[in-house]
Amino acid sequence: MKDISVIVPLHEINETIEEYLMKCLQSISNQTTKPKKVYIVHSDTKEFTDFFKSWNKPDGIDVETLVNKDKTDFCSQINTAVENMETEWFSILEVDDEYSKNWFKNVKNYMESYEDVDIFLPLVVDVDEKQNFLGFTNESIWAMKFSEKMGELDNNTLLNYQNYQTSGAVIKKESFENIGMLKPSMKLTFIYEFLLRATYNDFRIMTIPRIGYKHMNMREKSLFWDYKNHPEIRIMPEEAAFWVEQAKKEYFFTYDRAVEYEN
Amino acid sequence: MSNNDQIIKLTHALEKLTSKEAAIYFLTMDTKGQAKASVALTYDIVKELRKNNYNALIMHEKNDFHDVTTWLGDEYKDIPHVSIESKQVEVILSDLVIIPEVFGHVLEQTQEMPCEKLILAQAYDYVLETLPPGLTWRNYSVGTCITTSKKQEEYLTTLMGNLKYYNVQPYIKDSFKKLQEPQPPLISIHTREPRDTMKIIKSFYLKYPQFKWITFRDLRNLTTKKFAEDLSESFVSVWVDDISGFGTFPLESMKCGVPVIGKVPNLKPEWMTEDNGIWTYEINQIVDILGNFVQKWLEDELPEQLYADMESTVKVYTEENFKNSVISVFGAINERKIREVRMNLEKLTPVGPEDKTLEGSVNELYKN
Repeated sequence: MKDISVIVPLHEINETIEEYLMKCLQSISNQTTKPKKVYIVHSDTKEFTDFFKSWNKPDGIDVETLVNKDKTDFCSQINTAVENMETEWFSILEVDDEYSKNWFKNVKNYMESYEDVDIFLPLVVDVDEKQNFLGFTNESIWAMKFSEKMGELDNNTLLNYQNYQTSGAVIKKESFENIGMLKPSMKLTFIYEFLLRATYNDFRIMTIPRIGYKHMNMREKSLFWDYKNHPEIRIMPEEAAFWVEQAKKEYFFTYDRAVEYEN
Repeated sequence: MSNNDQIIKLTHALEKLTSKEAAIYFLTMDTKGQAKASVALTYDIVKELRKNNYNALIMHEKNDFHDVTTWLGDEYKDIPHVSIESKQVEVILSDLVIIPEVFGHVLEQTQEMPCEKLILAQAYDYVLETLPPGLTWRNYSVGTCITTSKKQEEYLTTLMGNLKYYNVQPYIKDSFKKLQEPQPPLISIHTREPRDTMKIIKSFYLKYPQFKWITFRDLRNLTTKKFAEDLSESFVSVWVDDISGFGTFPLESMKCGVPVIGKVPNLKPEWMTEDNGIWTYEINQIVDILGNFVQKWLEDELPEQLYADMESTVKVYTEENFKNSVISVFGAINERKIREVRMNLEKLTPVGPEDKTLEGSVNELYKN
């Protein structure tokens, strides 16, 4: 199998997150075909330093921690890890999420059949905090006459539908770097903007029609939960619309242009 | 008719049979350009017989018979056809007319034909459709029936035990093959009644709205090539055909590596086991079985054994076995006809032919 690294970005550490972390790493240990390396990216706070001094690394996987000193947002953490890794492909695993056990085995099968694909999206199962099934994500491109080519995401489809999930996806490192990686300033729509930019740059993006990733939707205190509920950083509908429009303007540009929302 | 006339006729028939020049007419329905498995099998038999130097032809009722190559493929374009309507067909003693079970209504009309008639019964459910109550094919001077499975033969024997039965084993064409890439989330569906197809699709989307993005493909009215392509591009197929005589579709599906969810037909196919598909006696259970199967497929939790059992089931239905059965059946029929003509000749010429002009040819034939 072509080498894959998994990136786990961490923004905080506490008992609950520790529990999630061990569970998400376990989902890598349980893979029938294992990735080569796991990078946990975190800031240089004392909590993290203390935690990683004494934590119990899970067996069967090669885990390395990376300290991201400056920008500690999600996009910067991913970009930092990508810059530091040596594998040809990578995947992002959010701490409260899990891979399904055959995900990397299926990725391997698809890589053998579709050599020119740049991003393999998983069929994502969205669950709530009680693990209740909420729905699928990334599945729609397999619906008849939805996208230009069944199973593949294209720019026109993205301009009309925004809800796609890159967590769990397996992304070619070189392609990711060539188009400028993630843009931290695209506050709410960094994934959407990235996918628009990728399709604009002729990336071939395919959903593997097998459940590959379990995503916890709107976990309390998660970034998107805060955007919806936190009184200080809550994003109102006008701002959300702004970020969607901004993504549609910015994807033509390779690098981040420090966009800001002005009320 | 004088003895001599009869001897001439029989001698001529014997010549035709031994040289395989005797015509074997396969009465065939007009598909009007729509794919039909039973007609495809008829063409395959004719093709194979011709390859083995038998004079097999397709016989049809009307002059404006639709060309089957549009859906069956160009490889059948050289098969000769004759039309009854053209009145140019002259059937003689040595010939054989093969009548499909659905053409029972022509039995009365063909009773006066000077040649032997045979029934080709592929759909056991239709055999009584055109027969008056209490009558069998034997009443129309038909003593032989070719079927496509032992199961059909067993059933037909219970109805008409006084016939000689043969089996031609259909084969699954090599155009049915596994997709090289991983299978996409498409479901192929093939039901005898179109309303069953719609009922299953609509019920599935109502019961499992989370799977609305998964597309069904109705495999009706496709060319053989497109049918095989579409089927292989599925991850599961659904089959409902209560009166199926053999069950070609599920075997084609298995050859494509596509598991089948199906309703057990009234005549359970001989290849059907508990492990080579997901079978139910209740049509209303199909949607739930399918929903469960889809979930398992998406989770990649299907047992490998299912795929192994499918492969071992279908591997016996090879073209080689089909060819052997065709040649064996028609070889046996031809041999029997030769024996019968010889016996009749012997009856007419207990001490040898009286007419010296016939002596050479008859004697020569007797030597064979």
